[in-house]
Amino acid sequence: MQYNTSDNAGYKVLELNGEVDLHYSPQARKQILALLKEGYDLLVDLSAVEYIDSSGVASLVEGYQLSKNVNLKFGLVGVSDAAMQVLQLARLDKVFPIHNSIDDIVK
Amino acid sequence: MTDALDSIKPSDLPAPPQAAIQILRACANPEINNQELAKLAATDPVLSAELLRIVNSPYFGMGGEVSNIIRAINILGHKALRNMVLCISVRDAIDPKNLPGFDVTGFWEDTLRRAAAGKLIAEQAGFDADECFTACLLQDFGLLVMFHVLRERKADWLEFIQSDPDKRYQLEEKIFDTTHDQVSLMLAKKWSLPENFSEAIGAHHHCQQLAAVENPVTLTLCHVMHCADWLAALFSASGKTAILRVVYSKLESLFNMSEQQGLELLNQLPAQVEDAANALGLHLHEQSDFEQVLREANVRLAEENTSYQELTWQLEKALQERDQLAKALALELEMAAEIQRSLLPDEKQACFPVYGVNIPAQELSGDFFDYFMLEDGSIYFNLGDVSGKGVTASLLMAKTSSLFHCLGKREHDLSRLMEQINAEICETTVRGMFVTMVAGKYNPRSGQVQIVNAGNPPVLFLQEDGKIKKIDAVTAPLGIVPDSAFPVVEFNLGKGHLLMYSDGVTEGYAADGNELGMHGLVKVIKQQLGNTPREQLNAIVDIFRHTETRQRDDITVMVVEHSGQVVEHLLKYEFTAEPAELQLMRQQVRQVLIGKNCKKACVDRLILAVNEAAMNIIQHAYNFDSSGNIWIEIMHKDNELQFKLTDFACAIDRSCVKSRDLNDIRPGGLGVHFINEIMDDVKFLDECENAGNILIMRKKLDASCLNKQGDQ
Repeated sequence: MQYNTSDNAGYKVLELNGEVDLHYSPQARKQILALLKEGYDLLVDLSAVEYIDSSGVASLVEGYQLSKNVNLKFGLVGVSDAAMQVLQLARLDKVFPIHNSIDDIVK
Repeated sequence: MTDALDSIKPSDLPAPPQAAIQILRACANPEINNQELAKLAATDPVLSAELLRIVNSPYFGMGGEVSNIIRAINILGHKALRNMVLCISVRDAIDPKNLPGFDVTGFWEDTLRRAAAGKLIAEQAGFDADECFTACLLQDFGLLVMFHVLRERKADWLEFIQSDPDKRYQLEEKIFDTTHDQVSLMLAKKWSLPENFSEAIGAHHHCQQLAAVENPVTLTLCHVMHCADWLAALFSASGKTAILRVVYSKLESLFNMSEQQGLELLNQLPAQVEDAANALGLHLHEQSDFEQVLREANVRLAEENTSYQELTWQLEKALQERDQLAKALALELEMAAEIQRSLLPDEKQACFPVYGVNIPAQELSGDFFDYFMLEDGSIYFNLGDVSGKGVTASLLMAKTSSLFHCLGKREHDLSRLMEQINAEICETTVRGMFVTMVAGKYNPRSGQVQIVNAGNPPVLFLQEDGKIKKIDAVTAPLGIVPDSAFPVVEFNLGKGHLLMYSDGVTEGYAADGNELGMHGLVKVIKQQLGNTPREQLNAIVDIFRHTETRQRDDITVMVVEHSGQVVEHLLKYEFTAEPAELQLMRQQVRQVLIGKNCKKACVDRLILAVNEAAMNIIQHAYNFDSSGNIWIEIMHKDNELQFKLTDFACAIDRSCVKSRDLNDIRPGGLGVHFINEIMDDVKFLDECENAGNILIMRKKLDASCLNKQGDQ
């Protein structure tokens, strides 16, 4: 499967959805790394994520680390409760730039 | 019988001397006087001399006092004269020289037996003895005529003499195309014999043909001839057993003679034959007495008793007896099995902490188990196995079980109880039989357990943390050493339980056809960790229920469990080690947790932990080899959830399974942190048979995790 992407406010927005587990996270990881390598500032939209596990979180961590290396912007947007719970558990809620919505970034 | 008349013509029949013919004809005339008859006899000096000799012979009863024919006729009467003339005529009718190679002696022997038998029957039955003698002398004379005509068949005589009257008759039809009775009848007519003589001779093989004849003497003669035939055959023919039966039967039905009377008659016969031969001037072989004939018949009888028919009958009878005995034995065994079952304890109420199962290999069991509560509330229990199987083992089983039950109620010291039982068995044991037994005492309130293991396989103490401790036998089985001591092993059951079993379990055949063994048993128990003790017991018993092979030995399993222990099984789910399978697994777990009234946040966190554990198995244990399987089980006990994940991959290096420093931000290593963060207790089981890994995770269900009553 392919996750949807869109352009908004100078960012590439990648919309993850459903259950980002060991089965789906490789695709998420692939798209995150590809977009960064193409030189886009990246926002990962987690508003439709119902479940995310450590492999999904790891994909986000990998994207975050790559963005730092290549001086691109990387952030999470619209993090669902389910995803937030996991990020908090991983103490990553204070590490990732997390935005409520794209509108917040524009402001 | 036109055939007979065709094959033997009247011209073939021998003719007596002229004087004899004239005397016979004269005798048929009731008005003839003695003088005239005497004159006729005198015309043939040879005949006259023979008549005088016969008249004076002891057999015909005159004792040598008669010196002339006229006096003989005066004393004897016409009929006796006629009979004597007939006898002489028959005797002389065929010159043996005309039948070279034919057993003439044998023929006369046979004929005289018939005649003498006829005379004896007549004497016994009150008939005219001389008349019967003569008739019987004549009845088979036709056969000699037939051999005389068809001389080339003379060798067949041997077969005749060895056959009974019925077979002889059939042989005659086959060989001569006629029968002796018809030839004799012809002769009787030619010789001008009285009508009743002729009729009886012609019908003596078919007496029933004479039923309509008016003269009763004719039928009597016919019956006498018929019986005489069979009596004579008894001395010469084979198959004497059957012939004797016929003789007795005919004598009884025709003359109302008992077997005893028949036997007496037969005993007299050989001597009578010799006397008759002497009287008629015939030379015979020495006659065998009837006892000798009977001995021969008895030997045959014994031989015939073991004939095929007899064997078949005996076999059928033996099989019937066997079936009856087997039925009786089966009933006995069933009753014995019932008594045995009554020695096993009744299944107590569901919460009783001791219970067991006994499955005999045969009708009767050598295994046993028992438990009962003492007055102080503690529980005695025992499980034993008598050496050997079947009835003998079951008897000792009954004794040992009863001793424990009876003595146990008074002797509350386990060690001393065992000493007493051992002493009792040693005193009375036979054939080196012995009993292995594990016995114990359990206090459900304190959890304290005492165990004595005398020669039984190790008792398994399954501790709360999943560790299995073996309590090996320290003493020899009961019934071997009279003064044995029985040291007690004492410990606290805690929240664990005891599993006891007979060697029928470890030595029994599992489904793969191999002996289960101690390893196999431990493996089954490990797979059952977290399940209730009763489920563990059932799983062990099921091993043997599922095997195709015959149960090798009695199987007995008993459990002593922590009395407060109630384990609720919420889930057992098996899935393949593939990432795509995880979603379905999570759904299963979610349903269970919602069913336990967990809060949504709590459900999500627990699912995350379980999922991380499963992911680790897929990634690290199976290394993404999707052919592997994973089991997840969820149990609820003492307000605590227990999650058990089992895999069958190679054992992982547990030192590598650890949480990382969260300040070091990198992609991997979060899973173990999640698990440790969410669960109260996480551990791998130390011993995992089959080289797999078993992970146990526990979570206390406190108020923070549960919805309030009524919340959804």
